[in-house]
Amino acid sequence: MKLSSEELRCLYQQETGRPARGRAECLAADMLLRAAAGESSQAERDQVARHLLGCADCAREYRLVREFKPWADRVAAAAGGPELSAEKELAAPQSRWWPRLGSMLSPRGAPYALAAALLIVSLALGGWVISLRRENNLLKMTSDPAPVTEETSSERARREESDRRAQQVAEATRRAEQDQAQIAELRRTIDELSRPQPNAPITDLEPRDSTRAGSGVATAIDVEPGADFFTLILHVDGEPSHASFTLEVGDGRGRRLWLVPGLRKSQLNTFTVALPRRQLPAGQYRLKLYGLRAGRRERVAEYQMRVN
Amino acid sequence: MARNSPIPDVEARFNEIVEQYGAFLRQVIVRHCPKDLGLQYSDIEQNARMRLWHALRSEREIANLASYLYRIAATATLDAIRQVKSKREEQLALAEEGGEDEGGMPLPPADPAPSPERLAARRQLVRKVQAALARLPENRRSAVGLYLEGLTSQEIADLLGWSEPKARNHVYRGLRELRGQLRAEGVDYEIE
Repeated sequence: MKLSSEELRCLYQQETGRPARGRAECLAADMLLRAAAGESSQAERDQVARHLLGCADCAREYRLVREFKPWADRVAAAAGGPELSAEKELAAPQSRWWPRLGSMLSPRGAPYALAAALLIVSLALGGWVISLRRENNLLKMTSDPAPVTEETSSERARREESDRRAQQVAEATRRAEQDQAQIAELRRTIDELSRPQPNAPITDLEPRDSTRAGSGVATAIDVEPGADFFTLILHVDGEPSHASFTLEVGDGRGRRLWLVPGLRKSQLNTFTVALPRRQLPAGQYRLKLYGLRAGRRERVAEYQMRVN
Repeated sequence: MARNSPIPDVEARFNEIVEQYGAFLRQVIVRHCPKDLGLQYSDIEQNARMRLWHALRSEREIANLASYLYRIAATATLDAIRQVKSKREEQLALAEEGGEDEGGMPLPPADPAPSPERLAARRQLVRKVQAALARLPENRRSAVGLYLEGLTSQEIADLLGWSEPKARNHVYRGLRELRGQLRAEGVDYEIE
């Protein structure tokens, strides 16, 4: 037996999913969140890792929760910026600088205050000169007709950021368009299924081993093009007295396609069921009617039909 | 909900957060929520908002808003996924038991169920893999096991507190060792 690494992974995940193991011992959402956010202790992380080793569903959920994290970081950046700067503006000057400034302005601190003021003025003048020079250089560059051949790193970063955002917007637009198309398709389907359907075929099906029909002969059902449903009236031999009935619809190869529970017997000792045409393409089908009695399933009748 | 609020500040705070981060919340749910489960994004979003509302109303201190929003978005999504899967599992179990009158889940025609022989062969193969895994040294066993469950080497590294190169190395060496053991039992696979 030869497998690719990806096939091996798929197989392993299928066999370690929850239905195969039961969900009782699965990890609580909180524990997964803590582990994904890197907030767990080493012991808890080990516990999560041990569980993920044998639980494909929790592993998938762990990965999903991790994908939320960058978003949370962006929210943190958006939330933290203004709040933090406001705190600085409010808290820092009053708690630190005002008392110092007050003490400097007292007669004892006057020489220090003067020295500090001179220092500040000279720094400000220095800064002003530097900014004038930069402005001058910038004006020279913009008036220079020669093509700019090299980008500065900040311009490149800005351009990359802009490209990245444009890609994100394009991606989001594409997804939204796909979703819209899907929704429109579903609406069309709902509209089609909600329309009254003229000439919907109704066909009587006799049980396969019944004396009223030839055994093993499939009943032909001609469904007009465009029909959404066709109705079957299922006849049974005898008068079954089960508590409830279920119909199993299978294809010609014996593969089960649908289970239709909750069938009720009519006063005429028949059952009716409407089947969707689009789910049953032309071909041969086998139907089995089961009755439930004392928790046990018993076969009541079997039918064969050919949809044309 | 808002009319019954005993504290108008709560409502104002809730509206402020929703106004500021509501679109963000919806975006992250829509983007990361699995598309194949038929989940209603709006239900998940509503659930997350309800959790936020309850937290604010119970006057619980939200020290880190971003962390809290992350938590409620992720838990609301996880809960919705688990609920849907749980329902599916119940219906499948019923169908497997014989399709009695509860449930009635239609099985899509396009999905051919594997034959019993194929299922048995698959389980046997996975048992062999698990047995071979159990024979690996602990670090490699963890790395390969998590890799087989779909985790990337970065995810493995973060979970186990390793560096990414260390995780990658353990996965690679572990897979080679696993391949050797499985080959001896007639199972061959390619390492990519």
